[in-house]
Amino acid sequence: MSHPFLDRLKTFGDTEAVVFEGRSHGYDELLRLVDDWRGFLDRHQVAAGEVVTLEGAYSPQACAGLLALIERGAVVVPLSAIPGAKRAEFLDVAQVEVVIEVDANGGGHRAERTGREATHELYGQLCATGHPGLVLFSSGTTGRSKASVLDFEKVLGRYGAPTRPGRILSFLSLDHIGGVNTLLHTLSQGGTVITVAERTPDSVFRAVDEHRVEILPTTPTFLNMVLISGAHERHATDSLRLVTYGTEPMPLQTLQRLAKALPGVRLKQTYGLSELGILPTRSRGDDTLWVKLGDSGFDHRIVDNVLWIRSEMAMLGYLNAPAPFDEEGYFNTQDVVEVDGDWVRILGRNSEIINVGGEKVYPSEVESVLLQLDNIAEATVSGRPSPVTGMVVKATVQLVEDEDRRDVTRRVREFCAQRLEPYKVPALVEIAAAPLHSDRYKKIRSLA
Amino acid sequence: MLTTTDITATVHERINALLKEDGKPVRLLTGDEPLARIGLSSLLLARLIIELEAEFGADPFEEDYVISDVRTVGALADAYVETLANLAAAAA
Repeated sequence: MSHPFLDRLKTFGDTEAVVFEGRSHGYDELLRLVDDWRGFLDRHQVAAGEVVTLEGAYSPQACAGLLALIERGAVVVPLSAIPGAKRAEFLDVAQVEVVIEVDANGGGHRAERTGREATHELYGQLCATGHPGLVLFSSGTTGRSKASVLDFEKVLGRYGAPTRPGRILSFLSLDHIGGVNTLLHTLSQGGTVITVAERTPDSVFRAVDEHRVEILPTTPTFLNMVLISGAHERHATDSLRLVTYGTEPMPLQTLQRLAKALPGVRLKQTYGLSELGILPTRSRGDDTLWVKLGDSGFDHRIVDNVLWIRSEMAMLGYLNAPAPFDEEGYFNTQDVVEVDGDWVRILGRNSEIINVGGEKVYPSEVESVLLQLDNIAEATVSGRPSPVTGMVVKATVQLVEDEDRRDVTRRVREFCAQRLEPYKVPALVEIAAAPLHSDRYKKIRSLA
Repeated sequence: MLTTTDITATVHERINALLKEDGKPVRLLTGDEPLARIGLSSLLLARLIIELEAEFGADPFEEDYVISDVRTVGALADAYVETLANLAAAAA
């Protein structure tokens, strides 16, 4: 019952597939791990169509687990380390039937049935095709994350015959469309995925040096930190031929400095959404933000300066929200763009969303946490520009009784840190003297 | 008007307060330390700049400076020293 994707991987023999903790693992070894996973899934009676989490850090075991679940026809919900309340929400929204925790060293994977039954209509659609599925979460306006359901066969269908195997560093984890795309695209080509334990400039550039990385997918915030750290000067970068950046707007000054710091390396903007996949792109030059969006499997149009995209591998829909496709199948990205002939320049979201170093934050999620705090009557959350992360989260609160601003800030930070991911915790807390008058922003405690 | 010493001391103090809050070791800073090697993540560095703006009433990175050019703790403090001196000169 081997999947054609795995059949292709067999042809790569003992070529290096994944480098993890500095150790190389060949395709043959990866496929042996997949075989171990087959036995594990059999023992736990995981069947086609079942909704299964895959939880754990990036590792060859996690990669093999993903491949085994695809082969089995399961619907995979990859999760990385997230706060307990968020994980519970994700399991609930995705109607997860089996949770699997990956042991990076193998042998100790855990599987447990949740007692839930996945009955969502989108799962029914997937089941009817017999295809494996992928569920990815993105921030939602109501504070609850939106869950996109993708047909894994369509994701895999994007990858053509092996032409140019590359050595690529995996920057994003497997719960992100970019991380899934990096892994599967690289493996489809017989290339090598190099993983790093931590995403600091020095550990990434050490891996570039030691493992001869050719392609480095990143974010603008990370590249900012690279330039500040000078990590690119302490490690050899002669193997690098392409640095890609995406997930947030790139400051032109950072890009221009990067082009000088890494001469001879092509710099390319990427564009992708978990709802649509990663578009093929071509940058007009290494020091410009103008980009051409590819049309292989995708097409786009611009309506009132907003980018709409149609994708062959688009999600079937959200599990918990209406899908913003028009009648012709174009998806409203909400990204405002400038146009110059075939070139577009992406200016950022035309919405309340706050993009902190590539991570998306909806104000309402943070506001609803703030309103659980004592002495806060109203809360407004907005984005505030930052030269480091593009934006940071700013909270403006109205108090019930007077309180020292430093005490309020400390309480807000401590409370939010226990309930939200670090990038969602307000970097700045201001106290409003008067009630917060705004239809959208105003929040009353009783509504929280 | 704040002196160079005052401004530098405030920058060092704010860095250490953030490191302490993040559970990282606090250290005596000389200014020579590479900014990326004292334990500040991108989120903490973003907060540092916001807190220093609140403290000094000026943000050097709004116009004159680019953060990716700043390599050391001393260079960061100098950006504030020069920005505040320019503001004082313009107001005089």
